Amino acid sequence: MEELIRTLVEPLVEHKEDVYIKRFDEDADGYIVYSVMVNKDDIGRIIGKRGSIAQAIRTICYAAATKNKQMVKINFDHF
Amino acid sequence: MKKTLIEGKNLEEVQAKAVELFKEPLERLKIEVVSEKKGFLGIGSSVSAYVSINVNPIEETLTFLKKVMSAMDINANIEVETDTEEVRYNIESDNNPILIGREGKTIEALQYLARHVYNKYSNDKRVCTIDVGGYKQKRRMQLEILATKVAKEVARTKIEVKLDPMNSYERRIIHTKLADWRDVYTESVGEEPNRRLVIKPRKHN
Repeated sequence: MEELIRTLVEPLVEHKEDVYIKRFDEDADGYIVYSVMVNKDDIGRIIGKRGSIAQAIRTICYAAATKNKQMVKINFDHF
Repeated sequence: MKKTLIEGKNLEEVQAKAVELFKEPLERLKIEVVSEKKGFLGIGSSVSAYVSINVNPIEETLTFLKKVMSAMDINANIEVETDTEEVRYNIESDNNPILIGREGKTIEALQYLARHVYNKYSNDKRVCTIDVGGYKQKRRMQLEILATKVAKEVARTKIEVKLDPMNSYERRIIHTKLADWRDVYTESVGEEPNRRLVIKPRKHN
């Protein structure tokens, strides 16, 4: 999953070296939470207009997670 | 391709500035020197050049899609078709339903991101579209059949009909299909994501 998120995020950002993905173990509701951190300059690029890009990234990750019978949540933030 | 004029004391400086500006390695950049002034002992010399990213947007998007497929652990075969208006990626995989998603949501998301990649390297007017296992093509046919059926009903009964919520692409198919009908016209009402198409009878005087 980390690899997928990275593949989706990297072409969108200018500071590829600053993309950092952290995985948190399943929470009480059974969701695996991924926190995606990017450079401050890039946060707009991965959220998009009204969160459109962030939502697209989530949709694709949900599909991949469904395939592996997992449930995921993805948060985006900057340093 | 987007071009930028960069100036420097010598070619190396121009190259370094270009790499810094575009955030791309040198071999992916195209540098066209427009003027070169020789100075004396390296003083007063200058070089200016047009720099652009020298990659094929179609190839770049294809690489992106392939990477996404392998990261999702899906074996996929991607065909590219191009014409003057569109660059189409037809994906055929061992797990199409996952890639399509509910009501084609996953395709839409994938297409949205692929367009970003495409437009980053290209500034032509072609749009990039993605289809998985002929889903969109089938959906288009279904919608056209539905549109014709409902429109006939509306023309006969003179009662307007509201269709189920659809995304902009699907509504467009129906608008286009019914655009030249004499007895009905179409309108969209409501707000995304519950925007719906209404087929209305046209009043004749």
